[in-house]
Amino acid sequence: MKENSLERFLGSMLRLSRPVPNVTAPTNVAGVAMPAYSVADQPPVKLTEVEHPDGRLSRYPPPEHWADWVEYDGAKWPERVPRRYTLVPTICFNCESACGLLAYVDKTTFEVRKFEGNPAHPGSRGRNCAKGPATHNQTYDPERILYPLKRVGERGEGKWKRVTWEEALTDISARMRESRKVRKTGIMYHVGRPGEDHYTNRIITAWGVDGHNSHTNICSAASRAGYAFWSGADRPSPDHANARTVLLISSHLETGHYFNPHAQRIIEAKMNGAKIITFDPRLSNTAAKSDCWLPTWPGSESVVLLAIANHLLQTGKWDREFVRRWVNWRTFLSDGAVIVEASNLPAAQKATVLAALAASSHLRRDGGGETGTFEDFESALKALYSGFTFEFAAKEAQVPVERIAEAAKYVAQAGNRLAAHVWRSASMGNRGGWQVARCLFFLNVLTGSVGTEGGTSLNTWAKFVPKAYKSPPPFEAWNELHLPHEYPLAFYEMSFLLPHFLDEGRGDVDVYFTRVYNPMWINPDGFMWMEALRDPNKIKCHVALTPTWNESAWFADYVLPMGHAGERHDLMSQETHSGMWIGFRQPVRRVAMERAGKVVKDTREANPGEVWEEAEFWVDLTWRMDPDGSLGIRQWVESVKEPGKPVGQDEYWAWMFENSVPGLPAAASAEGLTPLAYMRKYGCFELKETNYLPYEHVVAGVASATAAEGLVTDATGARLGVLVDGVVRAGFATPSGKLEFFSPTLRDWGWPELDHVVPWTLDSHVAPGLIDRAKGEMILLPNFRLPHLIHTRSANAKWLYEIGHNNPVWIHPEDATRLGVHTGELLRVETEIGWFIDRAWVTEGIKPGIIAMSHHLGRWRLQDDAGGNKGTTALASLDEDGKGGHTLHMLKGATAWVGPDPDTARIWWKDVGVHQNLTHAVQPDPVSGAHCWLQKAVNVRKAVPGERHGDVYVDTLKSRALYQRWLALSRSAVEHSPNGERRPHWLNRPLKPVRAAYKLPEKPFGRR
Amino acid sequence: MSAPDPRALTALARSRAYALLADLHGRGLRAETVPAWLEVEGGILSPAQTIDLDATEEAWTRLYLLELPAIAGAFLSPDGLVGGEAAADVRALRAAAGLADPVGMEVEHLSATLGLLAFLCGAEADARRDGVVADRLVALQHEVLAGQLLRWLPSWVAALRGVCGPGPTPPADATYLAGAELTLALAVDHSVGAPTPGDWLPAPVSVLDEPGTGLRRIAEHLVLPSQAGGYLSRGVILRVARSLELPATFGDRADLLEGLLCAAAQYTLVPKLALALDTVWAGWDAALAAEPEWAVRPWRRRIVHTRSLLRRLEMSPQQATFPK
Repeated sequence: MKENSLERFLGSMLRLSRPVPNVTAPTNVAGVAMPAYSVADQPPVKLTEVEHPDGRLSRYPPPEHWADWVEYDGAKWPERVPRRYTLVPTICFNCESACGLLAYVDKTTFEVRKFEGNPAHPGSRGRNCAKGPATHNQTYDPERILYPLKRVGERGEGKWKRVTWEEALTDISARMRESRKVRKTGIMYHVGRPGEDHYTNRIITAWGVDGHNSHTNICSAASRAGYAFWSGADRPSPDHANARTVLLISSHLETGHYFNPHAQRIIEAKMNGAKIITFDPRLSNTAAKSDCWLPTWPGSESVVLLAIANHLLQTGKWDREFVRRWVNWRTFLSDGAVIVEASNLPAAQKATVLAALAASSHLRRDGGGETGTFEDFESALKALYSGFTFEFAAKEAQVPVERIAEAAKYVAQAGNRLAAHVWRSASMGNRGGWQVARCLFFLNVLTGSVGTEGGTSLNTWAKFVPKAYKSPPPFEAWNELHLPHEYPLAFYEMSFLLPHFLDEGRGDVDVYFTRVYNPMWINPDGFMWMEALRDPNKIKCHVALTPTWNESAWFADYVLPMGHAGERHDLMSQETHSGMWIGFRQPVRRVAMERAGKVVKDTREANPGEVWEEAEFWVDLTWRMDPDGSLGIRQWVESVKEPGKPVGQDEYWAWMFENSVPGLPAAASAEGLTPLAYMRKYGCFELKETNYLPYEHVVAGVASATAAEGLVTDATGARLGVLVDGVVRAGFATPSGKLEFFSPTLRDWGWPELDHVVPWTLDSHVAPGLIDRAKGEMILLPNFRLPHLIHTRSANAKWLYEIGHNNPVWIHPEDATRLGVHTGELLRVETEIGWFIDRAWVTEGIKPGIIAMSHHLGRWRLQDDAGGNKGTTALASLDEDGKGGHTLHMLKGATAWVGPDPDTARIWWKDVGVHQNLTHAVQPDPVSGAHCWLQKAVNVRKAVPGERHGDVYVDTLKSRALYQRWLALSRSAVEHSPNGERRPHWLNRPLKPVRAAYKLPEKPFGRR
Repeated sequence: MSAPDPRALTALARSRAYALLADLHGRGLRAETVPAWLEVEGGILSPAQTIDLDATEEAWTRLYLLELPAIAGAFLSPDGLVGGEAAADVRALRAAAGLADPVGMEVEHLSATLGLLAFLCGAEADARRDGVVADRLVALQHEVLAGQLLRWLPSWVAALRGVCGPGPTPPADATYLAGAELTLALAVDHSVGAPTPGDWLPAPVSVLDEPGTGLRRIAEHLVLPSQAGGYLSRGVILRVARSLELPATFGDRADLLEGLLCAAAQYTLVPKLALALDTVWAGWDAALAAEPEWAVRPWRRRIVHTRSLLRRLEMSPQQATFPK
């Protein structure tokens, strides 16, 4: 070839308007091989070294070098091999904390070398737990799902074929369209930890259906309810770092909710002299590091908390002024007498309380203008709680009385710097657990440590969810499969009862999405789930959106691969402390490729195989659901810049960051960046460093003199604020605008008893009187976390499973001796619906009478070479007797195997735990709707020959009976709604329909 | 704003060119790449050309999968098999660049190596645009070119010319031949300045002088490129058979050629067969003569050696007693 011809050829290459084939793309070996990295031409760049006064990281790659970072490869030591990376921030997708990650993306191969902490992230501050870096395992997991799959055999038969996205999207969207044309309750999106704050909810709203179904009722519903009844916000946001006393009900230092952001701040506080109190029947690592550990008997926590409250009240160590200004004590004075009168308080105590309430109640009934004085309330309060002595609490909780006194002393010392938190543990363990949260927050209220520095804020003050470029209107529907009339106060959807609802014939589902969620495995009563998932008449089309195989996806019709933390766009904000921030999850390879000047139109081009991200998937699916716009749906995913085309990720987020995040445009401009470029660079933005006492904000422009004490509204009834001592202030999101010590909502919606309307104790379903230890009954505490795992989501992370992979039964030596069992020997634990076999771990770290198991382990698969990772799941078989009896037989534990990752050949463990949740009956709390996780172990004994580790048996006929027993405890809105509606409108729902949809149905299920 | 580094532009152009060519050799001409090829000057398609994608797909399958493997080991390894030393060499080069084996393709396939070059040139373009030293990337490119690709690409292109035959080439075949020649021209131009290696092929053996040699041994020798100096494809063997009106047999290339030698012996046509084969080898030699001397020297030496063997066959007085 002539030289000038070649020159012309090459010259025309520079003018090409068409893309060249993708052979120059990243190697993209995730899922099929281990990544390789190039050698850099440059020496390493130096780390930033600074000393911060607080808990921020002091050594990290300086952000100005993130785009071009060189460091030696530690794995090559002692050889000095420099690697050149572009550092792309993203957000961890494992637990709910939304910690910042920094992906080290090779500048030559675009493979991800590692994930470290993002030092710019306000929540995690550059620190991560083990789960963050293990994102690398999940990315390069050789067992991950890389292509869309469609079922070809019967559900659960394990026969799949690879299909194109086009085929899957066409079929699913057509089903959705048909469903939507017929009804607005046929599509259901069932989400585990959302890992994002608005995107999918907006899409579901756009569909015009009541389609959101969350896992909240097996996670946090009870705590949320407790906090919401008090404050209108449903989560606490403790300012641990600045606290004098940290009170934890659970094991937050190492495993609790928001574990990593909380743990580092709790340690910060401890280093500054704060005291830590932990309630936990188990000697967790947190308990071991606490100044005061209270191994309370499950269900007694609220008694101990009220004993501390009583101590504060009786000794005058409470913030009287805060309570006077911010608690709805007037309502208690006016409405409380009738409640107290009807209570079962001891006669003398009742008389004292009623005496304090008498004048004001009398005046109120007479229509008088006075409602009593705060002194009346103070007297009533002291009398009301006077029975909660340290001695009483010690007896109930079975802990030394001195220990309770010590805890009370620490609380009293805290002043208004009491940081407290409860999430799962006691609140989600017990029937009435929502009162544990009420009682805990009562201490915050009494100490005035609400929203203070070092106190406990509320999530709404620390979480920020920006608005999208346009928002669909609320939908006109109410799906009784989500929020049935029996649970008008539930937080939130009664999702764990779905199989029972379907079993009862309450309805069916046209298209059911499980999204990074494994309901059959994680929910109680998993065999009921299996029965539902298998039935195409109940769930007509099941689409599992998941990065990896799970037990539920095995029964799906479609399995669609979705990305891990470094493979997707999402926006998150969490109430990790008293500040406010947003975090931007990004597909890190896509960002790195774009930084290198490559054009990526679709995140699939940067992800392994055909793994997609939900953000793009939802837009595409929604567009196809309404291709001609006739359903009014398509408009919500249409581009503004290019009408007629779906909105792209850049356009979507650019608008949001430019228009909906206060302060971000200015911060970006200061660096010469667009807001989107700023977020792509830093992965987060801090809106407020602190946000103390927001309820005290004076509402400008409101003529306070004309308003009476209490809620202030405008002419349309819209809330402006709450009048406090003559000044209109922001207040709280409750109906009264104040903190509701007395809950009119509970009273009006069917729970008027004293032990419900004020912070009180409720009898747990595992109260000591209900557990006959002489007969061998015990409590099974099944819901404690392990710091390095997160249910289904972490099961494909080899590093995490090497740290810990089994969940033996913690049992006290006294009980072990009684049963004649030693560590490592098999125990048979029988619940009310079945039994399982697991190994014993004899330890003084658990209270006698209680056995405990972590709920992260016990994964299984039904085929040797599919359905799960061989190193983290056990091979099992299912058997059923046709009469409701189901057996899970463990055939083989974890095994090593040879594959692209040499580590898989090094798997040394076999025990991957026992799937105990199968044997748990559903136990919905009648108020909060939360599943009460603590199980009554009706019999615990040493296993006999023939009983094999991991085997599980459940009788679903018993499941059904237990469900009915608990359902009977509920109080339906049909009988108790004060206004003909299904639920108090002021209470949150993940997605709120139009007000008209709140109207109770004319033919509610089960009622004439 | 300063003018872009011309070396960055060259690297970018090469990257795109290698990418297009890698796709062409690896997957054939496709509807997705036709628009790009039509835009390219001096490429494989002319703007007014009518493209029959069925024909190009058939041609790609026939040429690349049946006739002439575009795989380094087939040319370079002593046994003519893939997955040996050549594969290890390419794998090492890819690892140095941080690339793992390609998915669904031999690591030593021409397409994979062109993909590697596209990748390295792209990285060089990025580096130069960022003002970063790119010496190592250039050195790696030279290693791929001189240390690997150009050791066999000229022979492969020569063989492809032979496969396409002396007469008019069907348009679809011509497309790939043009792509092959373009690839060679690009690689040769790109290799300027690269250190030139010595003889990388195994030492030639005198198969006719081996004790106990026979037609099978001669056939095996002639179909082994690293000994014979070129790749004798099935189509070329069959064409030779047809030209002599000799029956063709079945089996792999060695079987085919052995059958042809037997038939020639039976019909006393060994001299004519040797002459016909020599024409094939002469065609390869002529094709190679136009390429850089260092890159073709070992091949031309083997060709000389083989042509001498064929001349001895041609001169053989008594075909019927030729060892079997």
